[in-house]
Amino acid sequence: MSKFEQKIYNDGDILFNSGDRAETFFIIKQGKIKIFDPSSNLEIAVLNTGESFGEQSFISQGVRSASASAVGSTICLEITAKALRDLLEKEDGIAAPVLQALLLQMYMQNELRSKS
Amino acid sequence: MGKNFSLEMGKFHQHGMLDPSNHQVAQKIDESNLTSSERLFFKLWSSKLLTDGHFTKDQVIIARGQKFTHAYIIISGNISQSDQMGSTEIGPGAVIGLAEGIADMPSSYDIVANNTVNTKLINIEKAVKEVTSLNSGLKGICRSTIMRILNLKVAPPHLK
Repeated sequence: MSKFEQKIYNDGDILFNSGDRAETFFIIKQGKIKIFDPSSNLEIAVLNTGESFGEQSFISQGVRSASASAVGSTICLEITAKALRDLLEKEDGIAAPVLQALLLQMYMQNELRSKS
Repeated sequence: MGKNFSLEMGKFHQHGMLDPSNHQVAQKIDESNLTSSERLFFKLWSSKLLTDGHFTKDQVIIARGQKFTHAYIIISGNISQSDQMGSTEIGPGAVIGLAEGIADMPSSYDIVANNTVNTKLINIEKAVKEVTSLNSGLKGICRSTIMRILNLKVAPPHLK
């Protein structure tokens, strides 16, 4: 866990905005994070302790498609995409393809759910 | 047939990326305009750590209620995934049974090959061993991704 940095956010603090470069991956250690569309202020999801977000930083280093803010006092573990890739490369065996395939399966599920 | 899913394979043809084992082709990934999901797919397609699996037309890949021994990344061809609610046609870029297999859940669908289907295989027993022995950060990412794929509110005990 040494490459994971712990950060504390207060209620309403913005973690990132839609359009920002996606360079960090987050795991919620304690608290809640709201993912929302800033143009409409529409809530997309509320993520809880143990959940992670920001996968696009790991796979594409693209831009954020939504904004994220803390709901109440929240602690996150954060890791840069590069550090995460380095960490994964050190793993022997099929760990890297398993995580890549899980992310691809999640992409497929999101696409299918959006059509239902 | 209602919903469907497939990556746009035309892009790979456009860039001449038809043989991922070719080193020069693999290098093109950095110059291409592939999306994140297409890049992931190409990495898995070109992975030397995964074995190949092939299915013929009408072959049952898994029946509803069965546990997955392997997960499948579809490289070419199409499958039908069906339950009481209907049927979905799924093609290249789809990943079948990985989250379910690692979470030790049975298939919710009957899955049948519509034509010749080429896949990359992930052995579930090996995947579980790998995921459960990862450092806590990477394990947390896998656990969270599996829970989101399967819409689980509680993590499977062996992934906690």
